[in-house]
Amino acid sequence: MSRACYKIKGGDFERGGTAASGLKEALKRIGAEPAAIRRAVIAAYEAEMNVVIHAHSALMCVRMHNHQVDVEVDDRGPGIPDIELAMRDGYSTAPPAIRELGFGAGMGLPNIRKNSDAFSIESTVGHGTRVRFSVTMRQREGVRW
Amino acid sequence: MRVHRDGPQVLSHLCTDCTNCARACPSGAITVDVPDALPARPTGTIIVPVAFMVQFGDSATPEDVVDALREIGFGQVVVASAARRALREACLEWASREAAARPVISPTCPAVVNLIQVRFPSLIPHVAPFLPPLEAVVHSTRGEGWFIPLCPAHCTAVAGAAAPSLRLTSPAAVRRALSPILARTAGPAPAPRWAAPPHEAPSPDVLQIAGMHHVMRLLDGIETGLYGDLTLVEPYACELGCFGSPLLWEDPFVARHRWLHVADSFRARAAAVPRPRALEPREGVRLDPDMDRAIAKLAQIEELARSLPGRNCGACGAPDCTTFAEDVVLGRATINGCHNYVAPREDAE
Repeated sequence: MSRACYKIKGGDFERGGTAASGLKEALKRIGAEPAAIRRAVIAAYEAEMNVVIHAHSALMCVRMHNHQVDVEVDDRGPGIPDIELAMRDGYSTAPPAIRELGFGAGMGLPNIRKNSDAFSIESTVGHGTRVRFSVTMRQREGVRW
Repeated sequence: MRVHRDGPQVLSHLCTDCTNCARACPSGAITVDVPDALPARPTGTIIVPVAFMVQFGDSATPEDVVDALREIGFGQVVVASAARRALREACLEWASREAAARPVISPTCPAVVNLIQVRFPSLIPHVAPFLPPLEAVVHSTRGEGWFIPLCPAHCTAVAGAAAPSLRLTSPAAVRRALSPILARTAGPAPAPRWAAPPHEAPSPDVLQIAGMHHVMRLLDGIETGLYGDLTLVEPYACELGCFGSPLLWEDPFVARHRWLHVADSFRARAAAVPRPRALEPREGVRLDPDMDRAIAKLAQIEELARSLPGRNCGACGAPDCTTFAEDVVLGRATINGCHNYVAPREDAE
């Protein structure tokens, strides 16, 4: 079983997306099918950007085994008071300055759920949020060596 | 690439022939080797890339270069401009007609085609199914005659085109043969006329992008689902396309500027050549053909990397410790290669 962790820094828009890129490289190295890679990377990117926009810091840990990728993003931050509300399309608590940058459209959590095969979220206000999702990987064909 | 005490070593399964290593090496240890042979009186056809035609100063026009090539003995001079135009038109037609995958990627630079096969195989459906311009010309001349490649990707592509009687000669060798003639025939610089032909001019439908850094970022974006608003992308490994070839000597911006002045005079037409075999992915970064074994190897790499110093000192020849861990797990290196490695103790304290 492969396990790798990436640190995410809240507010660091310059490096936002590097953890998702690291995941993408790892998925290419195991030979996953492009469609599955795209779903996993979109979900990971949304989870990463949620941390950058809302939280102080987080650790994104990626486990791979049995053709499945499990991602856990565990952050220290304000937490989410109403998870059901946060899961609604378009609902966003991002401040105006962030929305002006083009982020915080309110589709992050719904996109993670849509692009994964299993999804869970738990949060404690004043402490942080933990998002977990899994994507099943099929093998990319057409390579013989 | 790995850099060892006795010199650089290219990992051929990852190499795309982009020539960036040759350009980057500060000591000149990496060179692009092209056969230099050109007989004193060559005959037959010579296939010439566009960028070569504008390497000879502002008083030697491309027409002068064609005349000089004939004077040293070539019966027919085929400049690849018609093939470039044909490829762009075929790619635009393909984009409008059949391609589901947007944007369409032009195969104009064989090094970028290699890059897609090695690092972005999911983008193979985006690549328009035609041969790059120089390969197309080789195909249409039935593989007879001489050819001036501008990079190793050209050499590899032409070798793959099954043209046994095609002979390669370097731009430097042809320059040596032409220089005495061009010095004699040089005239005043022609009056500048601006007539950038449609296949060279900027176009709202075509994004021209050059340099491996920019190209890789764009391909990464296309893989993520971005840039679907673009119709056609023409990516080049070298700065300003072949004008930036490491085998040429004129500044790429100056050369391209000269070409845009005169390109319209080369009005021959050609047809794009469909690719005979579909592009296949290459092994690339994939650790193993079997996913379970690949995951197991990735786990071993991660574990080994955790016990390496993590200083990325480069003494092992690899660019960083994680890459060295991969070398060890895949059998390309032994752990002794790390001078700073201390095996973890069995009894953890």
